[in-house]
Amino acid sequence: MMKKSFALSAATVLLFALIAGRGTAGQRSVKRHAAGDVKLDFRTDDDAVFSRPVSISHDRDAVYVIDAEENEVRVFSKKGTFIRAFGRKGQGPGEYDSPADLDVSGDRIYVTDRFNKRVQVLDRQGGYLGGFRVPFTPDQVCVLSGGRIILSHLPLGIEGPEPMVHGFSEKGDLLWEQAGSYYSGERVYDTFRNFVVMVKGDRDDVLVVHKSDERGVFRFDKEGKPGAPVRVTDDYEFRRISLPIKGPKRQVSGFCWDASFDGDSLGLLAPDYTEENDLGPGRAVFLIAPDGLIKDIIDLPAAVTRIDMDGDDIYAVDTENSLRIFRREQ
Amino acid sequence: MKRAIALALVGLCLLSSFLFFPQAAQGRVADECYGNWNRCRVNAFNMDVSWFRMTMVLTVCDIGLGKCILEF
Repeated sequence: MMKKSFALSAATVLLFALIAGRGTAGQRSVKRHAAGDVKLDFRTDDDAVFSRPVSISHDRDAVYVIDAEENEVRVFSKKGTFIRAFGRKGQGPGEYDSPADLDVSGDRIYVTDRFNKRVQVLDRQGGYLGGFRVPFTPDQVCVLSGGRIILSHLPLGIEGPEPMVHGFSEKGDLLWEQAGSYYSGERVYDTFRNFVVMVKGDRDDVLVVHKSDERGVFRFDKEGKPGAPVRVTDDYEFRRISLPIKGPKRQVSGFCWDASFDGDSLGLLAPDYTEENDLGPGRAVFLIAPDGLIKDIIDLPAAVTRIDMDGDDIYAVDTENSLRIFRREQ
Repeated sequence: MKRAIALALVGLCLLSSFLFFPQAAQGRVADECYGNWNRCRVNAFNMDVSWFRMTMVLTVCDIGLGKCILEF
């Protein structure tokens, strides 16, 4: 009798352990980190305040911010000291019409020159080295190994779906196109639906993240071959909003305001509700593991529009259009 | 005879340019309309305003596109 009840108790304990084990297998304890402002080196306000900052990125020793309205790239040290600016409005070499993004590869800087429909290649001082024209208005750029230049663009969506990600050779030859756009004919909705962030991944590939209505993060290698998409789990919530347009397409689910990739994690800057129940830039960065689960959450001291992760540091542009550097606390 | 051929050729040239140029001009106008519209909506996104406001701006861009096409 004693033996029987012991066996029953042991079996019950084992069963509970198994159930508990299964329950935690799909979830992971999520750590919340605060991030504080890093005091920037001496600067004049004019240098670190922008008119229309559209992109922030870094390489081994500098931070680059693109100001689309001033048609220039501003370069800062990783401590926030202003180093130099280059670019001006125009159509010639080293001139831009709404620059959109840049990537640094080796000693070369690649800048997408949106309305001049081209990519310009510069040295690290901003000197013009060359470039090539493209048949669309380029948005983001990632340079992969072997000189593969991957560009994204916001499709016009006039006649139907279009590819949104394009692979070019170093000489500017179009090699492949991927990521067909969504098309419903409702132009405003389609514009929201097709607005993507493209970031460089850790497998010599690019990750394409939709800003709304899509949990899948799509990967393409340098030859345009699709990798298995990462589905961000439901723990990361959509922020739903009703848009002031007619028809069934007025519901939009906000997914991210901006994204960045560092180490093996995708950082999603979550949009946040404003006081008017609108959706605006947020102040929390969710780190997503390769399996789509939330790994960590970083709470920033201010709402930001652009992020770029670099280890424990996050370079960002806040809603006042100022450069900020945050450091994650452990 | 030569004169008749020359006249016919001139007539043919005039006719083809009459038929061709309005279409080419129309194409250019449509390109310009869509170019301005694209610039308008890209600027809307670059402004980083909240989404309700952005919808308003995108709608204004669309109205501008419609007006531009109708004017030509």
